Formats: sequence, C-alpha cells, structure tokens
Amino acid sequence: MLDLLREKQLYENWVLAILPLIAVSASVKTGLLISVITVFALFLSSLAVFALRGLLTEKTAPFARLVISVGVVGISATLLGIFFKEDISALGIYVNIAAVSAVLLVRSDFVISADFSDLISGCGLSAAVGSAFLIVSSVIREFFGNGSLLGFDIYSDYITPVAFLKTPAGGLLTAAILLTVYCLIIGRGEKREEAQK
Amino acid sequence: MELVTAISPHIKAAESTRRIMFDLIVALSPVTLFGVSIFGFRALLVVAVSVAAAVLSEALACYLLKKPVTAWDLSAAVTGLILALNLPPRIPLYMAAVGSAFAVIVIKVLFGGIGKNLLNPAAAARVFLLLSFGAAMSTYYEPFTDLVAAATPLSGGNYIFKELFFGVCSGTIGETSAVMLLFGGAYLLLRRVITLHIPLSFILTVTLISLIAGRAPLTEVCSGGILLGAIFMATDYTTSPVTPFGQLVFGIGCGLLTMLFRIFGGMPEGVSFSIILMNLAVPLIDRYLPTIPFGTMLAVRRGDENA
Amino acid sequence: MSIFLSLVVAAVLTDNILLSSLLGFEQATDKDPSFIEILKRCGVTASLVFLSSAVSYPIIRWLLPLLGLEVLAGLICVLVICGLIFAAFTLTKLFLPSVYSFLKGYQAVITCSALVLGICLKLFSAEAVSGYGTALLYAVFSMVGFLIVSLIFWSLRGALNSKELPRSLRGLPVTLLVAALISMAFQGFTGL
Repeated sequence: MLDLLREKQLYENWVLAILPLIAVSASVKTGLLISVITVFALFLSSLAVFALRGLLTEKTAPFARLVISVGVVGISATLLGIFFKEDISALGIYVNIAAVSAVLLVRSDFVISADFSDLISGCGLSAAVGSAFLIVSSVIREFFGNGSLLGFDIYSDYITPVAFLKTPAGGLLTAAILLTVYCLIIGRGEKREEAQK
Repeated sequence: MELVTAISPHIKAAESTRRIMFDLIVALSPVTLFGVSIFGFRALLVVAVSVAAAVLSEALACYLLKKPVTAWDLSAAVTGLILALNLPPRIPLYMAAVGSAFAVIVIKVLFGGIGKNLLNPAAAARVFLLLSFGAAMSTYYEPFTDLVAAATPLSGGNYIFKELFFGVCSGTIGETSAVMLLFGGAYLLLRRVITLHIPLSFILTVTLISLIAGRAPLTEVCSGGILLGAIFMATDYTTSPVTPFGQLVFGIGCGLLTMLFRIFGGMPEGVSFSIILMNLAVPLIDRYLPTIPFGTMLAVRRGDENA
Repeated sequence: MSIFLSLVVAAVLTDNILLSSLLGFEQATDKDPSFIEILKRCGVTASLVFLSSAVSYPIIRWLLPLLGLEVLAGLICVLVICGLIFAAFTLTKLFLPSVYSFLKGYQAVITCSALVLGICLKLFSAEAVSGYGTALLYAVFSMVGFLIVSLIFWSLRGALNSKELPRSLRGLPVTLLVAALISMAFQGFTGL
C-alpha cells in the first residue's frame, strides 16, 4: 500500500484535489477544520455509495457521491459551527468546495468496484496524504506568514513575517515547495532501493 | 528523441556573460554611488547585503541541486544590485536578504539558471517584497536626514523637474536620479548591451499617456522607477522579446500598464508589476508577432524577386 | 458604467477564479491542448456556468429565505448543476446527436468540477454582485478571467516542459510555482 505513495498520477491527483482548499487555509485552525470536514465527507460519501453500489453505474456514481458529500459537509459545518463559529463562517464557499475535493480524492469507479477492505485503505491513504499536505502547508503559511501558530504570536514582535504567504499566491508557492520536497524524498528513497539491489 | 525549442541565445559562454554583467555593473555605479551619497551608509549596507545574499543563494542553490555553480559569472551580483536599487534606503537588512534569495533561488535557479527564467528576477523580487513587507517597502526617507519622507514624487509630493532630474529627493536608492540613470543607459547603448527599442517605447508611451491624462510628462517619467525599470529591468535578454517589433510592443505594453497602475491603481508603484506582467506575455509575442526572415532586407536590396 | 467596470475588473483580474480562489486548476493547466481546444473547453464550461447561475441564483436568493432554508444553498447548487448536465446529455442525445458527440468529449472536464460550483456559490458573497443581472455578468466574466489564465498557461507550455528544470520540479510542482508567480503579478491590479 505504501508503494502507492510513489505513484506520480496518484499523488499529483491528491494535490490537485485539495488545491482549492489551500486558498482558505492560511492558518492552522482553518486548515484543520477544512481537513476534518473533507475527510468526513470522503469517508461517508464513499461508504454510502459503496453500500448503494448495486443501484449505481460508473456514470452516475460521481454525481451520487457529490450529492451525498455536499449533504455531509453541510451537516459537519453546522455541527462544527457550534464550537468554531467565526472560523466556519470565514470558510464561506469552501465548505462546499471541500465536498468536491472529497469526491476527487478517490476515483468513483474504484469506490464501486473495490471490496470493503481495499476501499477503507484507499480512502484512508488519500485522506491521510491530502489532509497532511493541507495541514503542513497551513502550518508553514501561518508560521512564516503571520508569525503565529494556532493563534499564538511567536515572533511577530521582533521580525516582520512574510505576509505574502497569507495570500493565495503564497498558498500556491507553499504547495509547490511542499510537492517538490515530497518528490525529492521519494526520489532519494528510490535511489537507495536501487543501490541496495 | 524529443526536440525542445527554447528562446535564443542558446549558448552562453561564461566569458561573454561575465563581460555583459561587468558592463551592467559599470552602468549601475553612478546611480548606486549617488544613492549612497544622498541616503548615507545605511543605503550602502542594503546594497552590500542584497548582493552578498544573491551570490550566496546562487552558490547554495546550485550546490544543492547538483548543477554547476555559476555564482561567479556576476549575474547574481547584478540581480542583487538592481534589487537593492529598488528598495528604500533604510529597509531592515533581513528583508533585503530574503528578497535577494527569492529572486535568485525561486525565479532564476529553480527554472534552470541564467537564460531560463520566466520573469525578471529583480522586478519579481520587488513585487514579492511589496506584498510581503508592505509597510517597510513604502517607508521612504528624505535625503541626507533621518526623517521619514512625508511625501514622495509619486504620492503627494510637489517636486519641480530639476529636483527630479538631478535626484535629490525621496524614493528608493536607485530611482531618484534621472541623470545618473541616463548616463548608465548611454553607456549600455554604446557598449551595445541594450538597444533603444524597449526603453524608448516604454518612455514614449508613458509620455504620451501622461500628456493625454493631463499630467506633466517630464515629471512623470522622472518620478518613481520608470527610468530604472525601462533601462535596466525591462531590457533583460531572457525575459524580453527577440524581435525588434516584439520589443516595441513589449515596451508599449509596459508603458500602458505602468500608467494604468499609476492613474487608477491602489499599489504604490506600478513599474515592477507591469514589467512582470509583460514578461508573462513574451512567449506569445515571440510566437505570434511577424518576424522578417533573416536576409530578406539584403535580398530586397539586391533586387531579388524571389525574396 | 463605473459599476460595470469595477465588476469586470473584480471578476477578471483582482478576484480571478483561478488565481485568487484557486478553482479549476486542473482544467487550466492541462497538458498539451491546442488553442481551439482551450476555447471549446472554456466555452462548454462557461455555458454550464451561465445556465447554472441563471437557475440557482433566483432559487437561493429568493426562494430559500422564504422557506428559511439558507443552509441548503450548496446542496441546491450541486443539484442544479447535476440536473443541467444530465438534462444536457439526455436532450442532446435525443435531439441533437452531433452536439451530443461534441459534449461527450468534455464529460470528464465538466463533471465534478469545483470550478462551476465555486462560481455559483461565489455569486452570493462577491461584493460586486448586487442583483440578478450583475450576478450573471459576474459569472460570465469569471470565466473570461479563467480563459485568460488558461491562455497564459498554454503559451508557457514549452518553458514548463523544458529539460533544464530540476527533476523534482517537473510536472505539477513547476506549474504550481508558475501559477504562484502569475497570481503575484495579478495582485498588481488591486485597487483599480
């Protein structure tokens, strides 16, 4: 299963799926919230469609997943909104965009045709990689762009933080850097394996 | 076999790059010396830190990426120098260093080194610094003093042409003195490092639009970073069009955008933004603007009917 | 007139759907399309955007508040979009087979796109939108902005595929990097 982390198609797909959410995760708190919502929507919509797989074809499955996803994000956002009102309202349209990201993280034909354990591990891996990417980028953006972590100012009294990272452009730059580092690590791992052979 | 076409020049010998860079440094020295003399030792520190950070980042990045270290061909030093001239004289030194590192590592080395960059490194770094450290980048000082400038030539200041031409006014280190910049430009033209197309079309477009808009054209040209940008940043070989006609279009585009930003925009300075926006249009300009095939003029002169 | 201009500037430049809201990235940076291909793709997406905004805006703006069900805005948008896609495919299959075969090629592009959903939802939070007409204009001009960015990526294709790039940067990372730089450049338009 971990070999899948090296598949270029897969990890590029995961990054593209959660890319819209990077626009809104300039701080760790919102990054965590949107990841939770996305992962929730991913699991529930995949499980629901898996349960209904007798009724759905390959063509209708994405739509079904999307509709269920949107329902799930609506409910999770309302529930989380009880505790984190301002943060959820700051997310705005991205709550619903998270529904689409959740659907894009795993292919719908895989959801219909795989068996249960494969489905769970597939969803788990996609969710783990996607949310890890999102959360790490939000940590970088908040630490370097705002001088704080989880709302606590760390160094912004002494050094001015790089406000560029709080903008969407900075989010794209962070995503590019993270993905490059990921590719470097994978490349090094492959070289070590080849040297061992 | 995959054939890849890139924009010429394809081969850059270290000797020729170093010579061009040396010419650029000579052309930039009047402006630098002038800026340092009116803004003091602190300005010299900014220049030194910026250049050092640029050279060190290039060496480090080339080493880490296992590419041949090209830090000694002076191109990083020139990038650092031009960026420093775009910065306010008392900007915190770590900001200058961060900007230089961004210019060299992100804009230049990551794309493949000299000749492969998409945007002009100094202009892009200035934009990056403006968006990151907005307050510090917009704090200008009166020359010869420690006082923060209440007004600059671009915002609220009431300067007469003579002050702007000789440059004893507030602004970034390198943009105040039109006469020093023009000396540098003349030197570059004589040494054939740059051609007139881009600077002239840029400046003429700015003049024309300021006339239409009812602003004094000479003051407009000499205030802000227009001369610095037109002579030293927009003329970068890698990020400007290859054909003369394309270069004219590029210059006109830069002029148009700069005036658009100056008259209507919210950002303090529009020159760097307009240069990088036109840099993005260069592949289109090079691909689609008509070019005269090499040798056509000669054939026409000879009366060749098949030309 | 100035309201129109500020709406256009907001939709196309400062609040660009790809560069500020980061929607539709995959579609805009797709590998090796031709110029006509891009126009066709954006045309299909733009028609979908226009139709879904035209249908969903009145429902969400006027009908839902009457029922007190504003939270269902997202669900309504998704249902409208899915319904329109379904209707388009069924109707063209029955009545206009040439159009159907044309649309079939773009099925992957328009299904499950965050772009269409994002634009529909953005209409309710954009400052420049003040009514039905401005909402539709905003939606159309958002797609114009998307088209412009797609064309910029198209013209940069050669540079992005260059062999000079470090190995870990090839493919998606350098596309993200270039998008960051383009986004940075477009921020010069704020305040216009």
